[in-house]
This record gives sequence, structure tokens and C-alpha cells, in this order.
Amino acid sequence: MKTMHTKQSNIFGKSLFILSFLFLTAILCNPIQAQSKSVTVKGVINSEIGALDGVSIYLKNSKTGTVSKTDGSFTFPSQLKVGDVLIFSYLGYEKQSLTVKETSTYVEIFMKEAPIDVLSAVNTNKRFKSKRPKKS
Amino acid sequence: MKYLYFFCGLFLVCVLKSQAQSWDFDHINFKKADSLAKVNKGASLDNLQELTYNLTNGLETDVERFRAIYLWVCTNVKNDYNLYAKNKRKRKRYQEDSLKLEAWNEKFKKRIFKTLLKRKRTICTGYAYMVKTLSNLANIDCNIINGFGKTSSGNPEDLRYPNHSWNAVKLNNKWYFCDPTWASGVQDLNNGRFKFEYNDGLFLATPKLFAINHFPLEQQWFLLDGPLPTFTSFFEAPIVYNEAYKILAEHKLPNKLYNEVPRNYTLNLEYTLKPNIEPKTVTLTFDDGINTKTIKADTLEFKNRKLSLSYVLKKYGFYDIHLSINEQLVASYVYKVKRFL
Repeated sequence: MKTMHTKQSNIFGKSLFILSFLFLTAILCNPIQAQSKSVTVKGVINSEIGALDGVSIYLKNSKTGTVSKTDGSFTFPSQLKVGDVLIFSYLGYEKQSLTVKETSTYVEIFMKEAPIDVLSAVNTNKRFKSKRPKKS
Repeated sequence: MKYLYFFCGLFLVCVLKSQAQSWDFDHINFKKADSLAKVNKGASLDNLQELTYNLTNGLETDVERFRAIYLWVCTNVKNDYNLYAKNKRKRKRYQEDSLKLEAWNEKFKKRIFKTLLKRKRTICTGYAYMVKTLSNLANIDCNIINGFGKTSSGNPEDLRYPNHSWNAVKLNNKWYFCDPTWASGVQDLNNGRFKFEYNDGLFLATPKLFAINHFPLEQQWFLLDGPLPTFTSFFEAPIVYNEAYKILAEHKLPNKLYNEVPRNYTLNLEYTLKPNIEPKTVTLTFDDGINTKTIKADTLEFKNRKLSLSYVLKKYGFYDIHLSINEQLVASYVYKVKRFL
């Protein structure tokens, strides 16, 4: 009886060991773990008229961000993970997005002007006055 | 039975599409959104992401987030009369020359955005662009709609080429209209000064009323089911003032600005009012070019939000007729009453 009990404990111990080993391997080889490598993103922003300063650069769905300098350069203030999305936005230009890769340590962004027609009609609270036919 | 459910569902979708309006959100209290717009008054446009975050942080629904953004734009960005006048002049000059018009647009676009960024002053496109940009930053689907805007000047010259931009925003899978330029305030054409005077009526306005003085370049942006307005019907439509958006859900009759009728013609006017609006005072002001006279209609009926008036035009003459409800100027019509037609 005692021998049987020892055998059962051994089988249980072995299974636990194998399970722990598999669990550890899964954690170490997990692609998500691999993606969590942090990257410092630097770069420059250009447009048709040259370097663009004042461009807002921020991490999607967060408040973390920075603004490009007069020479168009920027360094993102926090470390980013592979797969994070950076948004570049500036008034009058189309919004750009960049998915961070391991190689995104230096990026060059080209901002395209927004294709818009500038139109205008003003609101007045002036009462309408018709053009009256001239009296003969 | 299955088919019955399907058609009921389809019918509901169609009905919902044609009834996109502000009171869909009557159950939502905009107090928090409005206070965020107020707290951020005067904020700079240097960091749009931060501005969007500050305007929307803590708000639970898209409609509240949009409300805070829209209200902030309407109460912080001024209309620039000089930019308006210059653009109008140049566009008129180059309307037959597409290359020159495009070159002007490209050059002017840069100036528009510089002025917006530095001085928070702009014209229609800048307002619509700001609402779209900030909404998109908050992950809200919002478009700029270009087209024709019919103002109270009633000047046909203004409608010879597209002159206005506004927004369509998608909330809870339905599109709604907003006009931040006209909601922002009033321009004094005599001295060029702009006065902030927020008009909440143009927030998520009803497509039927909107179509009377907004004609989009792309038909899909009428957001209407059934027959769409033609450019002629839009051109001939009565003048509807911005104050009307606070009171009306729909303008039904008369459907023309200029009318020629015989003596003793019965003028019929018909409107659907917004929910919870009681027409306490309804008046018609007649202007014959020399004198103005304010009168009450011969008959007035108000039932299930439908307001109907009638007035017999007994005297011949040429009249500008202005309708006011609750002392707000709502619409204008012109009637030439002849002895014989």
C-alpha cells in the first residue's frame, strides 16, 4: 500500500515538473513577450515646403506625445513597444500613423496637405429684404 | 413570420435614418461636456491631441465627447470677415478658370490654417475642419460636407458656386448634421465685427430642415429618404433663419421665397415644431417697402407639433412677409399680390 502511494506521488511530481517546464517555455517563447521590447523613436517630419515644426506626435489612445521642433525633428518622450501606433497630426495636413517596429529608431515622415476647398458663407441675423421692382 | 420580423427591422432602420435629430439624445445630460468646453476656453491649438484629451477625458459616450468638441470650436473660433471677403472675391473672379481657382485655393489654404493656428480665426472650411480633426482624434467618425449655404442675404449671386462647408457626424451608427460656422456667432456686415452667440439649434439638426438652406455637392449627404431636393427647389426655397433651428423640426409651407398671387389669396403656412416647443407668440410682419405692420394670422392651429397658420391677402401690393415664433425670426417670404393674375 505504501509503495503504491509513493508511485502515485512520483507520477504527480513528474507531471507537475513537465507542466511547469511547458508553462515556462510558453512564457519565454511567447511572441507577445518578444514584442514588449522597448524602442526609442526619433525622426524628422517633412512636407512639400520642407521641414515641418509644430506637428503633434502622440501615442494612439493616450495623452503621451510631443511636438516637432523647427527643423522638423522629434524624439518621442517615452519608450514604445513594438506594435504601438504613433499618430502625426498638424492643422491643414492629412493625419499620418506609424506602427512601431523594432527598426523604428529613426523614422522619416512626409506630411501631405489636406485636399480641401476653402469655402465661406457668413451668418448674419439681418432680416431679408427683397429686391423690389422699380416703380415707373 | 421570419419575413415579417425582417421587414419590420428594415422599416425601423429606414425610419431611424430619416429621423436623425438632436432629441435622439434627450436622455443624455450634456452638462459635463459643456463644462469641459467651458473649462478649456482659450486653449491653444498647438497640441490638438492634448486639447482633444482635455475636452473628452471622463466623458462616457461619443455624443458627449462630440458635444464638448463641437461646443469648444463654436465658442473659441471666430469668423474672420476679411478672409471671407477675400476668398469670395477671388473665387468669383476665377470661377471660369479652374487652374487659377486651384492655384488660389492652394495658396489661400496655407493662410487659412496659419490664421486658425495662430489667431483662432477662420471661415467655414476652417470650422468644419477643426470639428472633423478633433472628432477624428477622439475616434469619432466625422466628415466635412461641401456645398451651397443659403443665407438671409438672399443674394442669388452667392449661389453661383459652392460657398459653404459643414459637418456630418456618425453617432450610434447614425449620421447627423452640424453647422459650426453658423452656430458660432453673428457677423456684422457693416463693420466686419464678429460676435460670439452660440446657437444650439444647429447641433444635430434635422436633415429635412437642414436641406432648406444647405445643398451638399454629393447627394448622399442630404441624409434624406425619398425624393431629394433639386437645385432649383433649393434656389427658390424661402429664407429660413438660424434662429429657426431652435424652434422648427421641419419647414413645410410655403415652399418658395417669391410668389405671385391674386387678391384674396389665402396664404397657408405650415411647420413641424421641435418637441417641447410651445408657440406662445406667432406673428407675421408685412413690409411693403415703406411701412411695416405686425399682425396675427387669421387662423392658427397647433396639434401634435404641427403648426398651421392662414392669412387672407386682401390688399394688392408687394410684401416681404416675416414669420416670428416666440419672438424669434424664423422665415421670410415675398408675395406679390395682384388685382388679377
